[in-house]
Amino acid sequence: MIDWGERKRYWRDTKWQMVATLAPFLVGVLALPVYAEALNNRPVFGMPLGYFLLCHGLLFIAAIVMASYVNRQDAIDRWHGANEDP
Amino acid sequence: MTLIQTARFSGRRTGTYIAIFASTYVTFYLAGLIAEQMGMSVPRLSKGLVLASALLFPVVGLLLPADDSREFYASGRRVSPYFSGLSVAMTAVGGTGVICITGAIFKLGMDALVLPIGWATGTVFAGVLLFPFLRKCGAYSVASFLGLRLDSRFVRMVSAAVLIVPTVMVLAAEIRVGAFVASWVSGYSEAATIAFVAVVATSTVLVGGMRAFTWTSTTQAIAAILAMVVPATIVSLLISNLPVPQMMHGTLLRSYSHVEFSQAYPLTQSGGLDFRMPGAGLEPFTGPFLQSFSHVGRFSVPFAILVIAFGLAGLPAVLNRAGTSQTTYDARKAMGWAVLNTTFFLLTLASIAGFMRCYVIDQIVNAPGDRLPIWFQLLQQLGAASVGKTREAIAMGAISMKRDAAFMALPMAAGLPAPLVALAAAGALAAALAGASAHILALGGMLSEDLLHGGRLEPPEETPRLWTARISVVAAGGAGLVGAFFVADPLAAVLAALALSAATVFPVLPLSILWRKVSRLGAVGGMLAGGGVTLGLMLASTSGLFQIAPILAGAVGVPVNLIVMVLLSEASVSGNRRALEVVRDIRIPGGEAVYDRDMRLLRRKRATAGL
Repeated sequence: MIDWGERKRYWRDTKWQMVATLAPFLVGVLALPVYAEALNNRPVFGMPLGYFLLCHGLLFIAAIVMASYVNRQDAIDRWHGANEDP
Repeated sequence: MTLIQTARFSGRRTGTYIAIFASTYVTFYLAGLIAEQMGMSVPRLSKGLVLASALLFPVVGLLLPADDSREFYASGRRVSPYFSGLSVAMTAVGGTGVICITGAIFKLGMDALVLPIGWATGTVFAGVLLFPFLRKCGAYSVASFLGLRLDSRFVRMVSAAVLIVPTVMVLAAEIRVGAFVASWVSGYSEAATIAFVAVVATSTVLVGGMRAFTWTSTTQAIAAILAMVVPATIVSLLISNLPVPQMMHGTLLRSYSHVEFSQAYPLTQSGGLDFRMPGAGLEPFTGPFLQSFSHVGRFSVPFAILVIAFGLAGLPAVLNRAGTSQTTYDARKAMGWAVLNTTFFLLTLASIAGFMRCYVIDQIVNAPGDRLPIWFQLLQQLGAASVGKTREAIAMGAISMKRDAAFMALPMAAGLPAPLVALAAAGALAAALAGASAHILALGGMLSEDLLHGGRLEPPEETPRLWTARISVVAAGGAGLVGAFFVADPLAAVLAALALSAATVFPVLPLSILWRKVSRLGAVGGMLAGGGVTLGLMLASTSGLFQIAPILAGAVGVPVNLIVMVLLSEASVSGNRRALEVVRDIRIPGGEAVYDRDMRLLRRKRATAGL
């Protein structure tokens, strides 16, 4: 169980982890669709680059972002002694 | 009586049972292939396969009764992260995702990609901002969480009342989609199939609640995954020799793009704030697949993605799954699996849409109108497709197809055997049933726990609590049944529901975790202001005062909600000591869930009073 004095530091790191997870992902999600069509002239893996980035890229990024969040937040839990033993 | 239950994940043989189900399901369809070769009537075979598959799910649900409220609402808090994530993905995507998102991408192309992007972003938001904290709180519903966090029964009841509207809308849309699929296969009227889907979805969760839903949705996910993956992989193999539909459809779309761009339809650019998705009826193709901003304006795209994501992250049926994980870490991991499953589903659906578009371009465009392929003639007989003029070479703009036919039309267009067409339909129906059951359970929980018992200081004893929950599930199924008759376009209904969910409950959920000063007045004021503005804009648009898409009405409602909530919270007294203790507790993982601790103390108090 986490020490009382460690709670504030744990919560600060957790908040930064949320920001570090969501902010770059949101920038990609909001910016890419606006510029995707212009990239369609260039092929990647035989498909239009804009379509590839929108359809495959963003969905892959979502999965990777979430996996990295689970991993990093678990590391934060262990660092501050807030990890759970089942 | 045990005060703390600590059993690790449910059943050591769960994986075995699910493998048995999956192999039985596959064998069922292989037997169908043999029966077709032996000359069995195709319509009868398809009808039998799909309806028998649909009836298998309530059997699984009825075999898993819940003995207490913890089992009924939280599946005993011992679901493994993978299965919990799979259930979240099935709830989030649902039949509307399988049928309508595929259809929208098929009809609009790149413009419709805002839908899968919004859906995926919503699951990420729910996983990072809400799920771990809701699990640590342990409340059985979103409204109960807010009531516990703000220590207010009034907030609990208001948030439940507010959330009922989007939940009923999504539930009605799921039932409608399921009815469309069942009607397509069976030939029965949509009224009869609406009743069938509502009864099957309700009976699935009636006895076992979340426990039954967990394992039923897992079996439904197997059916849906097979329905998506098998036809798409075969088509990919047939066309490209590679069994990776998710990658190969893009290559194919690029090679057909010159045909599309040479077609005569007007290359219109939409206004910056337009958001027009294809309707459920017969509509012509209106632009090339790889063209952006023909139906969704440049400025609408980010707003639409955000509102869809906020709305999905605020849906009670999705968030209620948080309580089923054993620990906060498991809840996070469950959302990791949920995002992975959701993105896999959405990518496969996009590939199905892409392949179907290629079949239309390849076999219908420029073909003589009196020599259309058999699959297209079948679609015409089913009322799912038509062409403008016959005997002449057909232009892309002259072809009209129903949006929701795309998913089930792909195996037909590829010439796959009838049992594989039935496999696609059964999977789509399973996805709709999973979505409907999840929303019925969420709605029943709100009616019972938050509205009926929400005003009480303490929850009732287990027996009356379980029975009111079951009666509420029946009432929720009835509400969905009635609502489904009023839904003309399931995708439009879901988008409007997501806008309402985003504008009412989403802002208060993360803010109540991140900001201690959120007050009861702020929470209630924000929800009512955001919901009121969004609903007002939707009604004004419907009555013709001005034009705004429902999803963009949500983009106005969200900031209104936030501003009102922050201003009222600053102006009023923030939570009492109990509320501050709760927010302090839910931020830290580990230890007993806040709600479980309250219930343990209550049981101890009742046991002492009994002595």
